[in-house]
Amino acid sequence: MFTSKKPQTFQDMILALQTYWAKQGCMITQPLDMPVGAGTFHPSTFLRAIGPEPWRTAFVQPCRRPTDGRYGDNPNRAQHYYQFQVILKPSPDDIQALYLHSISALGIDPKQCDIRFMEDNWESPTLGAWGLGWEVCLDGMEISQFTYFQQVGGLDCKPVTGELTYGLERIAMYLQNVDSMFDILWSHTPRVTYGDIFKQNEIEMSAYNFEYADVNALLKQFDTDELQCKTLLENKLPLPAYEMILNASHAFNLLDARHAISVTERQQYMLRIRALAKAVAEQYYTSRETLGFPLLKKDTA
Amino acid sequence: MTKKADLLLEILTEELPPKNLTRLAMSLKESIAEGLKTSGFEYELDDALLATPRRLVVILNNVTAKQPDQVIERKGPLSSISFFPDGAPKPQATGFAKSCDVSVEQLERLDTPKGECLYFKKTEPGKSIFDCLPDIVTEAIKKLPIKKQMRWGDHDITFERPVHGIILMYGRKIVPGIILEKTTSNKTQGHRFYNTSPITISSAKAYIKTLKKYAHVYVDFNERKNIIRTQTIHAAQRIGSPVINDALLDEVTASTEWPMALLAKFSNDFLSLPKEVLIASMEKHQRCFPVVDQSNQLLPNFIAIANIKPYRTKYIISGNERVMRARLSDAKFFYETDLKHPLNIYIDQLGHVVFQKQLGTLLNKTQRLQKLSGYIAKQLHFKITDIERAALLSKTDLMTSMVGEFPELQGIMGEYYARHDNEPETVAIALKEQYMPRFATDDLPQTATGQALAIADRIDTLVGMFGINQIPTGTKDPFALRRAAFGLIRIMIEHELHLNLNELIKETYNIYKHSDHPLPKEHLGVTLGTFILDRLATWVGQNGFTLDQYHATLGGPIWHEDLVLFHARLKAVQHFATLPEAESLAAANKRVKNILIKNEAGILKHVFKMDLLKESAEIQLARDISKRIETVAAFEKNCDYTGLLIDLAQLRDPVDRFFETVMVMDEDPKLQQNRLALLVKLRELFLKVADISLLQIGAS
Repeated sequence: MFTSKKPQTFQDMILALQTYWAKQGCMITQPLDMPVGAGTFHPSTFLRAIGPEPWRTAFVQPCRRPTDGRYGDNPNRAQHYYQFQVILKPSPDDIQALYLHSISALGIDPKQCDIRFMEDNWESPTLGAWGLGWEVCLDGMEISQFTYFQQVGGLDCKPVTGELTYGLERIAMYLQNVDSMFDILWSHTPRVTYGDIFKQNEIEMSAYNFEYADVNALLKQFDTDELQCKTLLENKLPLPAYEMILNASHAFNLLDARHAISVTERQQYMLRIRALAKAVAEQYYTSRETLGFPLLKKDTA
Repeated sequence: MTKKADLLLEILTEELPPKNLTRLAMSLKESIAEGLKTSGFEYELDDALLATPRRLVVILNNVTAKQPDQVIERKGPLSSISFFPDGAPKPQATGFAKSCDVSVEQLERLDTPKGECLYFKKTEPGKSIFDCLPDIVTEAIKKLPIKKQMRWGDHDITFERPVHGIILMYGRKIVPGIILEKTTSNKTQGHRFYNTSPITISSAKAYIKTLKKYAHVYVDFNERKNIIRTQTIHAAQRIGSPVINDALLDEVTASTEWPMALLAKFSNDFLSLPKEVLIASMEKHQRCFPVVDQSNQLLPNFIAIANIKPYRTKYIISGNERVMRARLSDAKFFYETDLKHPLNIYIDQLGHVVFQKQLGTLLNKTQRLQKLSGYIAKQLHFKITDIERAALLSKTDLMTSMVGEFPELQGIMGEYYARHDNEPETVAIALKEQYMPRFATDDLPQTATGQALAIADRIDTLVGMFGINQIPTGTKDPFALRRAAFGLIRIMIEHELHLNLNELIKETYNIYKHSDHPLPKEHLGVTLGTFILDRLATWVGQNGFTLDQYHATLGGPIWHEDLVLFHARLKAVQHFATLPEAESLAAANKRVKNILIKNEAGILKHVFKMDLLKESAEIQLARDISKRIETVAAFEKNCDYTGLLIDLAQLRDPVDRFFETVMVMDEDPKLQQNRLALLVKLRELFLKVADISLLQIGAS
């Protein structure tokens, strides 16, 4: 296995991953412009995993998890961070090798460290989705999630989508040998650290998430989003309906951070989102089917 | 002599879940052996377990190359009715020949007692192992206990993880076939990072050695396990000794092919954390082995097991240390945050956590536990104040950050935090002991408070779940009710707590009835009773009693009124079974029981009268029984059931003589009734302990 030179900065690392995956026949696409908790919510993952059409893409996705905020005090946890997401549909038989080569492309020599695929199955009750796979550990640290999607929105995945999710900050900390994510060097010239960019953001956003987010407005927003989603579905518009789900999800996460939802209610809210996700998945499938699954034709042509 | 050779199967996969690995490997081996046996092949079965994260392997030695030839014989119609006078075959003959796939001329004749008949015989040559093996393997794969089947790519097959290759060899030859969409071969992959090109296996015999020598893979699970154990002890040697949890060792063995133990350290500062927290962080989160000194105190070190032996180990060690530092910092943060608040501030919050939808929140459960443990304490004459306090705080630690992160530390953290809050020591200990025994062979709660709370917690869950019809079926027992019932039995019997189980269930039911969560289901006592009785049978079996002793004891006084006395009677029966008198008395009891069953009408009301006794044997028996009635009463009062049965053993001779010389069913109904009444008395004496008629002595 050929090991490349180590990227020295956060941005170099992203560039290295993009270059590598572009060479493997992935479109390099861009992040979703809405708050999401994981790259899995990007339509390029959730919706594209539905139906028979092939899909190969890679993109960086900023993620927001309000409850993980620590006011910038915790070196390993933040309410905003980056995932590098790779979607390979159908999952190729050599997907593990492809992944490991990407790790080598980051200058990590797999013979000099301990890379392990540890069982970790993924389930998202709100998306009606589950898959089997691993967390990939590097010297005991989880650096990636590796999942073979089995169901999305309650629909069986045929073919199966392979999802590779890199925890960019963790890998950067390893490569740059720093103990805090805020000490990661983002770029050389100008010399800017991750903390320079995001420390203040963590402090202020944690305060918003935990203290100032308007609970009543969020509760109302959730209801509005749900209603709007249903209306859009009635009008056969699954794509904007899906965006309403993302809005509602983020509102729910903020309410969670504000401890505004009891355990019992929590379950109810999750079931409401799940019902919408299922309906959107089904309608998206139908709309692609009506179009004759265009990407399928392109693939065989 | 038939030719023999070794058989090799390797299923090469992506990393399999470690916790299911040995089960899969064992099942595969058993199913293939079974398949070979059914198909008539012979082989030698050893107990080697061959499995790594990426391969399930079966090697069977000296497998015969071919099935034995099969002689097929069929008898047809009698010759006399098979042919027309001109010798032409009748339809019976042609039909039989056709069914044997030959012509009438090819049929033979066989003499039978009924006369000569048409006869067909052929020798079917046994099939070769090469023809049978692919199907046998395919069938064995279908039977694998895969927890969650998965699909991958656009393939139509499923397995535990994606499959990359199948080796199927007999001796030095490939057994051709297609299994799990893969063409069988003699090629495999070695260790992920050492060997990039395929490894060719020359013969089934050479497989294990080849992988060890050229592919950086120890295929033998137990060999690898021992290597890890030895390396771990060695790595810790300089400073202490490792704490090796066997389940963790299995998990680590199942996730490595080429293991290497590495000693790492963490800061002394973290040693201020409760040791259970440190151990959970190391074992559960990082799959590492803790290290202790000579006095069994945790050292600031751990052993990590890598799946590679790098040129320089320091990077892997420092990487693992960095992760451990992050984990322990989190734990320390949780612990310090938790210590800022006393446990009792969480009581209200318990109202927000659902225990079970129909059974309310943890606060509802807490309130029930207070009443229930109070009741139990009263029955057992325990001091009530501490018990009610313990019940009130029992679930509060579930609300702490630490238990949120490490759910398995429930109770344990409660004990630490209660002590920090200056709660009474008995309360602190009870918070931990309420969950004991956590598994079948775990220690029991030792304090009275702990025992009362442990019983209350389990019976509340059992009665509640049965009351809403959440009864375990088959292997499904999501609320671990079997374990709860088993724990309940162990605590009561092994600590000799005299509690009336029936009353306890009724009391629990009533507590529910007068709460916000009355139980919809009535008569749950019967189903729950049967359920607990099943667990009691398990307990009895695990503690050296036989099934007939158990049934005999169940035939005595009602078991659920006092499990301690049930146990005492069970021990008495066990001892009685060893007495020379036992066989004869068991037989006599059976005889008495049968006679009484046949003549049930009204006899129980009769008391035997001395003046109606005629024969010397019955007079003697009556005298002996009268004597025993007095002595037995004393034993019964002292609950000395063993003594009681030893005392009754003296009745063997008079009972034997009675049955030898006395006719119970005399023509005179008066004499008959009187003799039956005498036998009723005899049986009643034994039934004070057990139904001895159910004992099987000397039968085997």
